[in-house]
Amino acid sequence: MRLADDLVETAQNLVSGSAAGRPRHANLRRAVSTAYYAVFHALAHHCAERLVGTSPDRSDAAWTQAYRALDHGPTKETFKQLSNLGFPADLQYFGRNFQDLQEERNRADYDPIARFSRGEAAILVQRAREAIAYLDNAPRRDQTALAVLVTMKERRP
Amino acid sequence: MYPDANPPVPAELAREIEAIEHRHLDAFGLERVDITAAHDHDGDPVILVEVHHTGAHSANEDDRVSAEALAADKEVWERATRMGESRFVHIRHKFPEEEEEMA
Repeated sequence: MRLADDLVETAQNLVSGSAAGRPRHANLRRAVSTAYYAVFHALAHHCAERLVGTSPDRSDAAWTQAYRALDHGPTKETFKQLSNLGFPADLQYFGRNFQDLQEERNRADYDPIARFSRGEAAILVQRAREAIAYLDNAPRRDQTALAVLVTMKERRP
Repeated sequence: MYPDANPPVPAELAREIEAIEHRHLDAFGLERVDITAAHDHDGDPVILVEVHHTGAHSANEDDRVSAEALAADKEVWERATRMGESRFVHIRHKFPEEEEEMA
C-alpha cells in the first residue's frame, strides 16, 4: 500500500473515533492534517513514478530525490495556474482540492483557536480521498506533465 | 492580481455560490452560506465560503452529505473560474460541534 493510501485510512480512523464515543478534538485536528499529507504524498509518489519510473531496476536514490522534490508553498503557487495551462478539468479539480486541504492543514496544525467538528473533518478526509482518485485516474501524459510542472522550474528567456 | 487590497466578492458570484450550495445541501439541513473576501495562511487574497450546516441529517446520511458537499464545491470552483474570478475560493463546511470523548 502507498503511504498516501495508508494516510487516508489513518485520517478516516481518527474521524471515526472509538466505539465508546466521539473523537477527541486533537484527533480531528490530526485527521485534517493527515488528509492533506495523504494528498501531498500521493502527488510526490506520482512525481517519482512518472519522472524516474516503476521498473524494478530503477535507482532508489533517484526515485527518492524526485519524491522529495515536491514543496508545499511552490506547489500551491503552481496550482493557481493549472486552469491557464491547459490541464484537464480533473487535474484542475485535484489542484483545487490540494489548495483547500493545505489551508485547512495550516489551521489544524498552527491555529490554536481553530475548531473542527466531526462532520467538517469527515468531508475533508473524503475530499482527500476524491482528490487522490482524480490524480490516479488522470492520463499518464497529464500526470507526467504535472510532475514536471511541480518539481522543475521553468526558465524564461 | 490584488497586490494591495482584497476587493469585495462580486455580488453576482456570491449569489451563484449561495445558490449552488443551497441546491445541493438544502435537503440535508443547510442553515446559511457566508461569503467574504479574506486571506489564506500565506496572506494571499482568497474568497472564503463558510457553509453552515444544521447537522440535523441522520447518521446514515453522512456519506451522502459528504458527496453532495464535494459536488457543490466542485461546481462552485468551476463557476468562479468561468466568471473570471482569479482568487482561490476556499470552502469550509461547518457543523455544530458534538461533545468530544473524554479520556
